[in-house]
Amino acid sequence: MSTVQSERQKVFRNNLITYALVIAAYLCAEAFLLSGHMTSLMKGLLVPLCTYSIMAVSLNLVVGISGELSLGHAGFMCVGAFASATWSMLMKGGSMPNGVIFLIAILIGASFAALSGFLIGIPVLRLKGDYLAIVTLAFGEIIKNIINALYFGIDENGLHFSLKDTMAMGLSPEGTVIIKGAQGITGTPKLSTFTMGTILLLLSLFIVLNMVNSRTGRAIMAIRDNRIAAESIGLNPARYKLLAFTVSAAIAGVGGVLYAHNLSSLQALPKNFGYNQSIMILVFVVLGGIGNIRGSVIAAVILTLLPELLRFMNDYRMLIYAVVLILMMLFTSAPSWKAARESLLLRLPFRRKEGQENEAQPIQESKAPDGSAGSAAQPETAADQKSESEGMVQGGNSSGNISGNPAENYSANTAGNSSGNNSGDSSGNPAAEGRRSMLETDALSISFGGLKAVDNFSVSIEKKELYGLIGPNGAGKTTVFNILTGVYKPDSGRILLDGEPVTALSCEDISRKGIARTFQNIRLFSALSVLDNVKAGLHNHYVYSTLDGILRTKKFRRMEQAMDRKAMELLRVFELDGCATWRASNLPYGQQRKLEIARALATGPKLLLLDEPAAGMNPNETEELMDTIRMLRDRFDMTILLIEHDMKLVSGICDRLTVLNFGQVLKQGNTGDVMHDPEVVKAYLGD
Amino acid sequence: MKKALSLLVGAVMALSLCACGSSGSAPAPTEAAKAPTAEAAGEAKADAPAADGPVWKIGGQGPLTGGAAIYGIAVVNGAEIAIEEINQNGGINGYQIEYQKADDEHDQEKAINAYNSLKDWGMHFLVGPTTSSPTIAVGTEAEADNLFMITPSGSAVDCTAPKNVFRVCFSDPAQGAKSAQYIGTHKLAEKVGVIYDSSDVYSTGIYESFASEAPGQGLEIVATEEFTSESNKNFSVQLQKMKDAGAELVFLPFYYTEASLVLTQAASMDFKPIFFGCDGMDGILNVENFDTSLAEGLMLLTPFAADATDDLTVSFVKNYQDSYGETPNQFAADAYDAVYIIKAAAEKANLNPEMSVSELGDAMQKAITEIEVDGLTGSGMTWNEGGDVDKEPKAVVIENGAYASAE
Repeated sequence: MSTVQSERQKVFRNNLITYALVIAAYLCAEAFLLSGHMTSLMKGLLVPLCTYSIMAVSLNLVVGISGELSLGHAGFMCVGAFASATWSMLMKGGSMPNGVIFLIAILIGASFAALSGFLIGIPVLRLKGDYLAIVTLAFGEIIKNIINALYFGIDENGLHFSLKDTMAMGLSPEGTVIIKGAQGITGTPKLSTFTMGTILLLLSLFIVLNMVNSRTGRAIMAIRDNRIAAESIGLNPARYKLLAFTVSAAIAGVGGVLYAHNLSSLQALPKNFGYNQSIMILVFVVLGGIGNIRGSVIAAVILTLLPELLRFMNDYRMLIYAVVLILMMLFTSAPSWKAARESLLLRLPFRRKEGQENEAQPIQESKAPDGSAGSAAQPETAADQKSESEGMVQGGNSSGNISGNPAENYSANTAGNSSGNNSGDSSGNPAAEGRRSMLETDALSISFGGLKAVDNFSVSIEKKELYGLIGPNGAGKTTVFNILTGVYKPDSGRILLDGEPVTALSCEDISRKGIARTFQNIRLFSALSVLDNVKAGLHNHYVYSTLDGILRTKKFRRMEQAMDRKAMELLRVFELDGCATWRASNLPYGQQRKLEIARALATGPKLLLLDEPAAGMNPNETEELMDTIRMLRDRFDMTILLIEHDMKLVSGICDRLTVLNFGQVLKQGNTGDVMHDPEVVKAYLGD
Repeated sequence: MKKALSLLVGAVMALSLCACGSSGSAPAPTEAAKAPTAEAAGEAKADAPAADGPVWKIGGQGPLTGGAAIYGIAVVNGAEIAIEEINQNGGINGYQIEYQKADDEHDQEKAINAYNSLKDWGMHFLVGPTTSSPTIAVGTEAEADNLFMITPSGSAVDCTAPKNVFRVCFSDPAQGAKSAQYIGTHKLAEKVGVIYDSSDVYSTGIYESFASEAPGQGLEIVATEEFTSESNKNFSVQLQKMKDAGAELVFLPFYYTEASLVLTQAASMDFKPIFFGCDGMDGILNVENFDTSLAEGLMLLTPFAADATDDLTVSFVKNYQDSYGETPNQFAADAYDAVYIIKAAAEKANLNPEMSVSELGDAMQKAITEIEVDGLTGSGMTWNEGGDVDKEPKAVVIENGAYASAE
């Protein structure tokens, strides 16, 4: 647990540094301001610096954390700017104090931008690939064009809109035009201040950093790293992507509010809200490090300042700016420069210690905002722990107590069976005491085009059984897994899990019902830590809201601690606890397999599907794996269906087998019988 | 994928910036008014005058890079020519002028940065910004500093809303209304069509005032068609509608680049109404690859024509061509006038550069309403307190490939 805590503290410290940097910069600037040593140019730049930093934070949430490419973030800025400026214009000259006007303007800007982010996200985030990039690109341009065509005014009869011209609004002579088409809004009160900008930046950082280091952020990053695996452990990609996108849009809207209230004339020009601006924000993110929030803020500051500080170069300033940008990009991102930089840093005396630490914990190098909890690493009292079950959905287990014995939750009803019994021979029928089917499929069929990939597949697997699914390549084994886990919907047939129909449910629902799987080619959340991979698996068992995560409520702390404990217990079972803080992709191959199984187990399944678990393993590792699988069954009371080509493994551990060939069941029965069946030998094992 | 993305983005950015940078630096500036750097000047302000006596510091700003750079460059060049002339003839009230220009990229936010950098340099008066929206944004800042500012070409109504902002050009509504009046009083046509750029402030501003003035002048607008800066290449649909509606005159309140396409496409569909433009049309005869014979008969209201034969214009055009190798357009002329307007007002109020910016601002605001200036863009120009100029537009018609007076 101590590694987990030190890891947490590290993240906490990291976030504190980010806040401290912003505050230090603020104080520094204030000191210059008050002592009168700041040039007008710098004074004028203070609010834009905050605006663009906020934009960088916002976009990094989408690009870095959620892994989607948005090319229209200036569009959300535009929505926020115009919505809030319209409000401020309506209130201008009224009795409301400026501070209140501005606060409400921020809320309006954020909610309008969030709404447009939400609406765009609904259809688009369900698609895979680069659609979002294209749609957001279009969105940015559309918003700009709509605003350029929009006329909006107010008179004593109410609000008037037109998409044609001022005259078409039919305003009375006393009416005021607020949005005047391409001329935009003129006379927005200048309410943005540096202090307000800094507060908003800190707030954005607070929201994003806390969200990233919580259950929600973990889910978002898990989906980014591997969508299919994320679905298999019961995460809903559309939901979390939409959440990240909406929050990001809202923050961009705040950036827009700040922008609009810093200028007396607001127009949607290609320069400020167009494609170039979106790309510019993307450059902040890329330069600062995709996923590195602090870095992107620093990049935003540097890149906003640079062209202004180069003004003395007159005609060459943009050229110099471009050159500096390229050099900076190389400096931060080119592999050879990176290596040179790091070796230089390691030579510095105060860095050496840290560098060695990094070697021991590789995750620190490549991943700045990682997914473990930030604050409150103190252990809580036992009384607090008791109430943990409130928010938990226990997978088929009445006990809500998650402390104590590692396997307690999963094996409460077979306590007598959970010890020992690891001997090599398991030919006896272990499910004798249950004698009821855990999985029953009835005539499952699916075809792709004209090809019947799986035809009339029926199987009945008993509780605690180790069941093998074998067959030559292309026989349809993995397709069966994909049907069982909801990746494919069967054309016909029925699936019963523990007597409950689960046919054609979504991946997420099937995971909740209790089927977990591993993948033929390992699918870990590679940028997350080993611990976080397992915690992602616990996602649906330890529930607290995104808001809890952002506000770091008591519930958040309690849940996170419980999750850490639970995850560490599982890791200990697989002897992975020593590398809990490693980046998952840095694990050796065999351990990655184990981690994948641990993650699957974390979802609390009744049935575990293992897709070629021994693939790529040497005989020793395979031997070890066989022990692990037996241990799983015995200790966690697990029913296991596995696909395997390694006949030694299959004959060593499987109670019964089904042989698939060309999508059809060739043979079913006890392992020994099936393996010696002449038909099977002919079809699969060869002559 | 991330790496590839970062490289791609980096490359795109770098290229686009390079492109901007090089286009901006193409018309090489003269070395006469190279001022100290903005940064250094800000710090060294206190001891600078001690060196060689007080000087006037006039700032100029406009887009020197990017799509609108042609206007900004014209403005800073035009002002530079006037300042050189004035310096050779003894300066303003005996004080020489220093000139510093700043790039605002036709963006409100950058315009404020540019303005602030000029302020740090110690600017007394601002000739600029060039385009409307930056002028509005900078105007608010300048009002707070009470710095006298005269925009050569910021034509939107709101540009001169602050009390310290004046302008040389007509406001957009003034141009629209004057065009309608001109067409009405000269009975050029009754059925009028309008094509305008709905994404452009200048164009919409003129269109709106034209449309509201037209009925009073006996004009019937039979067709109104718009385009945007993203769809400004093909006008055949708009022209067909003008033709179908039987427009005898088509009003084109936008810049000459698009207008040259309109004229070419109208000729190819055999549509030959009277085409009528505003000051943005000035420059159409210099468009590359444009068959100027298509512009025969085109009328435009413009305060400045580079081939006018009066002495002032001839010498300005010659100086400009010698210095920058181009024929000056209306923006350059506006800026040239702006500097002389500052001179006239400063001499009227008998100002000197040792006065504070705010004192100068107060005095100039008063003085400018009391002077009358003969310039390139009009004779007998006067200003009201609202900041707008009163001068008669000149209507010209293109005959034999050159401007001729339409009267």
